[in-house]
Formats: sequence, C-alpha cells, structure tokens
Amino acid sequence: MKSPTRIALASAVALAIACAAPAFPQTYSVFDAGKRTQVAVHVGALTIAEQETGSPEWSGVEAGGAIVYSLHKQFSLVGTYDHGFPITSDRDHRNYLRAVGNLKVYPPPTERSATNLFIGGGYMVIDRAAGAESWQGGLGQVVVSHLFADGWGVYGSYIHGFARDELEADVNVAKLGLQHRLFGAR
Amino acid sequence: MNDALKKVLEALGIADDGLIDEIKERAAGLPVEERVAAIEALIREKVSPEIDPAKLAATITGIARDVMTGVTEIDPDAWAGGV
Repeated sequence: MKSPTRIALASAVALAIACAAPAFPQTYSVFDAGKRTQVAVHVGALTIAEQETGSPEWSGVEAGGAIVYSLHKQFSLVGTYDHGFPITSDRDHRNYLRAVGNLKVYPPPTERSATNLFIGGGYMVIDRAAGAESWQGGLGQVVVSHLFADGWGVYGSYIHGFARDELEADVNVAKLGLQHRLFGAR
Repeated sequence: MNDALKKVLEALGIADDGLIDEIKERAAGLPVEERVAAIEALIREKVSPEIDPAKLAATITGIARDVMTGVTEIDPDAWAGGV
C-alpha cells in the first residue's frame, strides 16, 4: 500500500518536471502575434555607397528599431526604421525604411547559438535630404549577430539595394553596432 | 609549388599561409587527380562559403510547407536579425 507521503512526493516531482520543460517543442498558430512579435532597437555606424562610384555617399551614426514577426523557427518578417545622424555638418539626416523576409541560415534549426546568421530579401526606401527624391528598390542582405547577454548583441550587416529607377545607381550599405531586444519571446 | 599556389590564391583574394598549409594537408598522400579535386573543393569552400542553392530551395520549400499547416515553432532569437 502506498503511503500518502509517497504519493504527495511523486505528484510534486511530476508537477515540477511538467512545469520545468515542455515534453515537445512549443508550437503556436502562425497568427499568434502575441507569441511571435518581438521589438528591438539598435544603434551603430552606417555607411552607404553607390555601386558605380564605390565611394561613400553618406556615413554617420544610425539609431533605429525593428518589429520582427517570427513566422517559423528559420524565417521571420522584419520591418525596420533607421535614422541616420550625420557626423559632419555638410551632410543631412537620412531615414531608412526596410521590409525584409529573413531566413536564418545559422545555427541549424535544432540548435541555439550566441552567433546567428541571416540572409534576407525585401524592399528599401532611403529618404534623402529635403528636396531630393528618395531612393527605392529591392534589397538583398546579410546580417550576422552575436548575442553576449540576455537581450543584448552586436551586429554587422551588408545590404545591397537594387535601384528601381533605371536612372539611379544600386547602393551598398554597411552597418555595425549594438542591438537590444525590448520585448518579445526569449 | 608554394609560389604558384600563392599567386593563384592571391588572384582569388584568399591568400594566406594558413590556407596554404591546409591545402598541403588536404592534398598529402593523394593521387594527382584526387589532389586537384581536393584542392579545388577547399578553394571553393574559401571563395564561396555560400549556401548550396539546392539545399536553400529545399529549406524554403520546407518552411513554406510548415507555415501552410498553420502551426509552427518560433525562433526566440529572430529579433537579432532585425537591424
């Protein structure tokens, strides 16, 4: 006959195991925005060069934010806004808007790593100085990020922008900085 | 051999002593044909470490199939790609 103490102990252990780790990977509806949405901010250096000249057209400090919708453990939809602050008085402020589909190519889907590599494609708008027309076009990008603490990381990214207007040149954008997750799944 | 190899690697923009040693190790003891193939494979790895297009297509197809089921896992580190 089992004693009440043993039954209580066994129940407590079973409950603790059930609460500590789910038996299966957690899945959610693809429309569950509450579980899937993350918001992050970043600050760093940004430089943009026209494809033809190669010389930096604009460089400065960027501060921005992103809304990330993790649609899959290997794929997310990202909307970002960056504001570029010039470091010299002869340059203007810039605004950068991007809508990107990000494919996570490292680490493998069964693993979690401090270092993450994403490749993505999407659309970019660069709002130039007042009076000048904005640049628009498709983009391809590579982002490497290294997380060094909970919700904190450093990033480097390269973006190639394919000009929509034939009269415009393609652009290359390089970014390097510090990122922080404000909220979302962890 | 070192000079010729170094020139080839320089032309590809990947010349360094470590890589030359790696090539020597990879090629050591192999017949000539296999040696060439081994060196070519190593250089391809260094020049273009990009994802295999067929593998990438399979990955994208797999993701699309998973998403179509309406229920998927999330990536808790997806925010790191939002820069």
